[in-house]
Amino acid sequence: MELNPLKESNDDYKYYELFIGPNHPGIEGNFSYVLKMKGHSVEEVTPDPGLLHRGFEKLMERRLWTQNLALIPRICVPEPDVNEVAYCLGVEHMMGIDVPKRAQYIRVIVLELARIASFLFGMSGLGGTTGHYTSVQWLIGDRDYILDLFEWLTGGRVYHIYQYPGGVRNDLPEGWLDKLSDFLDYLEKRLPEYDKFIFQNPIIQKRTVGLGYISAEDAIENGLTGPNLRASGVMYDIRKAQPYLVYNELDFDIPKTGDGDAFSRVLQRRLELSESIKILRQCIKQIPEGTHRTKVPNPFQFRVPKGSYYSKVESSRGEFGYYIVSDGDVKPYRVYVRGPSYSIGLYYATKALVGMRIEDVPVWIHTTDMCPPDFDR
Amino acid sequence: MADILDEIKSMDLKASWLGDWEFEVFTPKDRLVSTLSYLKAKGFKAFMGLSCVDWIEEGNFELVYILQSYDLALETIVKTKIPRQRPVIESMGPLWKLCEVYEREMHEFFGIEFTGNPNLKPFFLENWLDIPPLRKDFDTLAFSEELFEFKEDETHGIESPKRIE
Amino acid sequence: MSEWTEIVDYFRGRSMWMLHYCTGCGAIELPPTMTSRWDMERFGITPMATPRQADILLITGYLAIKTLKRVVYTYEQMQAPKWVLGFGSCTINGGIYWDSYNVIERLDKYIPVDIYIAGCMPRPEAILDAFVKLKEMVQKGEAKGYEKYVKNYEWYKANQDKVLKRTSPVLKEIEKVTKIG
Repeated sequence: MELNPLKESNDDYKYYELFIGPNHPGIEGNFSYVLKMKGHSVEEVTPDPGLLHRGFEKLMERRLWTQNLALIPRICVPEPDVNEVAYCLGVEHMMGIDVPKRAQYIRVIVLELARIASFLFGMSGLGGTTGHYTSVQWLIGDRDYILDLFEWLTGGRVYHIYQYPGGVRNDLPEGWLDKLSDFLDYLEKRLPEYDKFIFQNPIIQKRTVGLGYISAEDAIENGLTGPNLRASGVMYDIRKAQPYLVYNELDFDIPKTGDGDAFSRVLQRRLELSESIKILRQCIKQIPEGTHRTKVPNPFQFRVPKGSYYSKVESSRGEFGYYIVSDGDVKPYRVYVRGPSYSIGLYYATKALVGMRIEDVPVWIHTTDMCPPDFDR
Repeated sequence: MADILDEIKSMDLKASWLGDWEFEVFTPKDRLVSTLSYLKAKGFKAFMGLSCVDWIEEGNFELVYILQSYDLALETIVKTKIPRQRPVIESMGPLWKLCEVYEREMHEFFGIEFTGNPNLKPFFLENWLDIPPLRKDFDTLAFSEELFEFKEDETHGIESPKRIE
Repeated sequence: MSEWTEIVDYFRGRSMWMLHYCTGCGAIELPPTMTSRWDMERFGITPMATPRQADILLITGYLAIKTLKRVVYTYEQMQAPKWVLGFGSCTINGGIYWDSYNVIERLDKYIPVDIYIAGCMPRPEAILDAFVKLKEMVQKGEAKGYEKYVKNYEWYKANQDKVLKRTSPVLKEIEKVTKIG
């Protein structure tokens, strides 16, 4: 009889249940998968969300239109600005408010900075799960420069509450754009280093290349959006296809990786980060002078006309959508939030993780860059 | 782009543009499946979300299906109303398996029954015994005060409880 | 015995392991605190994956009812001496979620809290300040939340059960309201 020690035989093992999360370093955020395991391969996945459920959609019905701006950034913690912008875009569309050009540019700057911060945070999470702690130290450290810029601009490191229907709360402080420019120079210098130690790192390549392949049809069928969708070869970006704000005046590309495996999903984010830098540089050059906010009614008389609208913003995780219903009152009648991680975290993971080895599960979770607060809401 | 709206209108459905890239379609409950499968065949392959609006004064729930077409770069919002007293509707699982997850959420938050959905177990909430929380007649503040016994006073809850030494 | 307690307390304060459990949005400020910029390891504090080897339970923000159950399990699994830090306004009085149906209002009704950090969200400096303060309290033998929990176990348990083991609807007017089907 031929003995092959490398051959896997799971027949001797029994089934057992394994909880990944909520208190587990391999899971992203406070969220849990119950895995039915056979040996070390996953047989069945049951997501167990709701650990972060705060009832945002109910709370928003109880607050004034403008009060909600303080509430909604908390829906997506690593990238809170998309919520504010998506909500403001919806409200402005329903009220017919024109936003000044300068405010639109400021919004693009804030969105793209937040996207870079979120990508850095996501890539550092990958470092954490593959045991590559240098990347955690470096990327989180570099992300802090962005948080400092945000703090200068808005007063808050994490939650900014900077957008307001009709524009932004305050104009850019003096010298802020120069500092931003300096930061971009610094980040561009760092990027080759990231490429060297993350993307050319044999350990990360071994762990991620070929893992969790998603075909283009699968990605569409399962409601994936954003970089996860584009990594599978569907080149759809809301910023290009349905441009909002001033994205149609800016020149940027959608990088194509198109393999659909875990590595290409991370690479997609890395390449889009470069595009964001390009967008920011153009914004610094092109930003016009003028007012940063149009006049809107005072918060207590702030009424949105009857109707409904679905506004969406391309976040670093995919499409962030707000379905807003108004009955003409001072409070929203109903707001539904479409979080980009919902479909991948609660549905696609139950299919994709089956058959995977246990040590690949956290890597897969981190390469999809899911964010539990946005589907728990 | 405008053709699809005319085609929908010729099917006796109310439809209108919401913005530059999205339009809404109103469909009666019994024509929901045919409308959605028509739209899916027309290229709206991606299912983006399912929501529900509680029109309590009318006595209706309005279900909102959000679909996306990547080829046309369009988004469509399909709306249908069901009575609030007997909120039962067919599951869209056969069209999009993903939809079953959203239906499970809507079942939990609004109490809508989806016939044909095999998994309508509690999802986000644990041990929930009250009426579904996102219904308009559910008072979240009263619930919070009753369950967590937090009354707003001059200390705003800062002062520590007296019972503990 | 008393000298021994003093010595033991002194060393306890110099090596505190924090449970790596991201209960709420405050978890986003922990990576900067842990890594190169603020580097909390210089205070002898380092993240730990399992509750059985951890000393500090950091409640980073709001607690949904479902999470509260896990937090109570986790807290009871931890070995004494153990300390709880309430992080952010949400643990103090519910914060921005004061009227939410799924977020608890006051953490110390359910588990004893040694230090609260105010703010939404507190900066990394505030976290480090709380750790230093906790260290002082531990070295002086003041932070005795875990003893309070043992002493008033029934009170805490009753509060926990009220939220976690509901057997009837909370709002009594349910009969008036439309029921399903």
